[in-house]
Amino acid sequence: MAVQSKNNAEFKKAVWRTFLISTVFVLVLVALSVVFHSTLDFRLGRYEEALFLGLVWLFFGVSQWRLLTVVKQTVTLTPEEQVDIHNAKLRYIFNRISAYVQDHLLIDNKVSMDLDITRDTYAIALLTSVESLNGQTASLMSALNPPYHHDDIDHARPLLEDQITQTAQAITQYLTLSAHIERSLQDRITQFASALNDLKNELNSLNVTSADALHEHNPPHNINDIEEVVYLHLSIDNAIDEQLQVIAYDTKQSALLLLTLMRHLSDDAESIVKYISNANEKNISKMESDMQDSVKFIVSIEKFIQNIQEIPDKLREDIGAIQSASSVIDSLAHLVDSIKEISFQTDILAVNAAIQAAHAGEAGLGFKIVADEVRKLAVNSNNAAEMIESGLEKARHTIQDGLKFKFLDEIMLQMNGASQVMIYVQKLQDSQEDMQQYYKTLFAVINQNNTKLAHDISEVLGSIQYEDVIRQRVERIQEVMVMRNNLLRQLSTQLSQGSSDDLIMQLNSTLTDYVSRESHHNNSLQAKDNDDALPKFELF
Amino acid sequence: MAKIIFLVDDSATMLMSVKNTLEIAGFKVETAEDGVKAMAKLTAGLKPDLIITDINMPNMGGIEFIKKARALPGFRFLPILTLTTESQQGRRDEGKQAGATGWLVKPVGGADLVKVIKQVLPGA
Amino acid sequence: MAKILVIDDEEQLRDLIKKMLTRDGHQILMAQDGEEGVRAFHQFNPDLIITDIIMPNKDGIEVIMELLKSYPEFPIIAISGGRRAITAGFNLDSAEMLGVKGILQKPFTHQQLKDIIQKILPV
Repeated sequence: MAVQSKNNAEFKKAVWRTFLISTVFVLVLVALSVVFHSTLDFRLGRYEEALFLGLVWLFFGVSQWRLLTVVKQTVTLTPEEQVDIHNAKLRYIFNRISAYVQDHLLIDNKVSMDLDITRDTYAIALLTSVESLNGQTASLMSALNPPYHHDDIDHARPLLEDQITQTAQAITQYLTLSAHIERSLQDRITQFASALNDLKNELNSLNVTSADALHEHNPPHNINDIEEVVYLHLSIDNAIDEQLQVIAYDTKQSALLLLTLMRHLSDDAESIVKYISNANEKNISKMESDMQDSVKFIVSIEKFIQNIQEIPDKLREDIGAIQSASSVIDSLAHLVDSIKEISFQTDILAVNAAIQAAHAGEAGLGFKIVADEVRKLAVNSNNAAEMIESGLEKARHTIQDGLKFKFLDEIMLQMNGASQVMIYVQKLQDSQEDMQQYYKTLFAVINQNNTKLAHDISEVLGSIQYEDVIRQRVERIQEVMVMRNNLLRQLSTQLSQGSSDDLIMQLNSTLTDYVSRESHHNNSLQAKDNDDALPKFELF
Repeated sequence: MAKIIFLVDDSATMLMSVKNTLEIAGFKVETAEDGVKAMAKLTAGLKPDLIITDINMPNMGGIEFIKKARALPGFRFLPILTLTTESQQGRRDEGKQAGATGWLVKPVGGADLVKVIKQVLPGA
Repeated sequence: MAKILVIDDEEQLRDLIKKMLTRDGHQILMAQDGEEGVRAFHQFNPDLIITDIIMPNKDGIEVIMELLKSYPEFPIIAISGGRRAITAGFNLDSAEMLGVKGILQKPFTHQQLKDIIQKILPV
């Protein structure tokens, strides 16, 4: 059809040319005849002139027409010639495709290498960072376990913060480079999509004959095949592009998720450390002074107990002194009684002797003197006895009073000490209770928050699994690109022999396999809830 | 006594992530990077309480590894879980036939993973 | 109009809170120590708990931990006046770290209590 219309265009041009030439020729003739008429004196009538001119014009027109049919015949090619032209055009197209494939392969290789670099360098950096983060979280958690040392916490907390910052940086680098790779891949796809379109347009404008028309001559290649190859190529690129979108989305989302989870970890770590330092400030100083007082209390209580223990001994001593004093006094008292008795008896004797002397006259005078002397003795011994008695009494009182006083005093002192001690004992009990309460509460809170920290770091570790999912998706893209490029390489060398059916089939199956395999890895962050979707965890 | 979990995966990320998560939860974890290395450890005497394995690995993939592990003496009733990006029914059936106890699709984060393990490991 | 359980070993304070909240239209249940409080929780299913921290027979910290373990989002308000070396601030900080939804230092006004309950309980 295209050939025919081209021929028609040429034919029209030829007709127009014919008309122009014949008209010009006639006009020249007219001009000449006018000139000659004036010199040669032709005597033809008007009508004869017109008829003559008309015949010449007609004759010229017919001869042109005859020329045209001859030309037309030469424009119509033989089928073989047509096939040759057709193949020449196809060879041109195939060369263009080869050039395109070569460029394509070069850029694919570069992008593939870049993808590998991203994975290996930055993914590993991210991995190492998260591992260190795990380590720092673990040290903070062990610093928070009893026995709890404030120095350990002061040391561990900033290290954790640093690690979080480093990990956040690693994530940002990973994101930036991934975004860069994705952009260049997409640019590549756009670039080549438009190059392919240009190719398709060139194909159309070359006006290559349809295979149907040349069917009986079995041309080696079919224009439909070329179109199909181009179409499959574009489809594979589209499928890859779709997965690239998923990768771009997943990378960004999982990085955001990771950053959010690290923020949780940091916040929880900060709140527990703040809590501990507040608890310290608000309570420990009061408790520490209570502790110091407690020591004083304990010392006083000990002394009190010691004193109480000494009392029985002292008591025994005093009782002993009293007992021995009493027995002396008792024995002395007996002595006094005896002396009293003696003096009484002596007195009676003296009175009797005086009476006898009075009766005896002068002879009794000497006897009276003796009697007087005896009486004096009695009085003296009585006085003496009385003196001893009062002396003894005094002694007894003094001892008893003295002892009584000392003993009571001691008891009094101890009684006062006891109530003070009771206060001390109560205070000790109180501060002991407070201490218990404080540490019980503190450790309950720390314990629960350690669990929270453990949970937080687990979530961070979990979210980094996306790196593996994304990596596998990238690897599958690289695989399919390699397969497709191999097939295209085959196409560009296979062009002169055989049909491209087999090649087209392989391209087709590459595409359908890739698309169906990707649909089985439906674990993107973007995955819409699907009734058909199988559960993430299944127990057989 | 802490339970021992044997983790088989060719991805350094997965090994780091899952090993640390499980250690935080109180398990002891052994690892291997592919089916061949995993079998070597098992035949050398490692007797875990649970195996978690990836499917797509070099040298020996998960399906083959599960078959071989099941064939070892004393491993008939050991719980074996897969942890993989593959989700389709065909693959799950393959896993079930090879002897897997359950199928997990990546990614599986901290608390969820521990919950699942507690389901298959009694007394954990 | 909510069912509120008040756990405090001080009778005077229990009565005071009861007066305040009854006036606001709430139904008040009371318990005098932690053990009673936990029993009352399981028996009467209150919408909110107001608990003291320092109490005999299971203190507020234990009550909070026990309840939030089974019901992590259950609304609890912790109150405390502190005692001797244990400051109210420490008790209330601790309660907050454990996950209570509100804290109030003794002594508090009716308005303060009302405001905090309004913030926590959906209307």
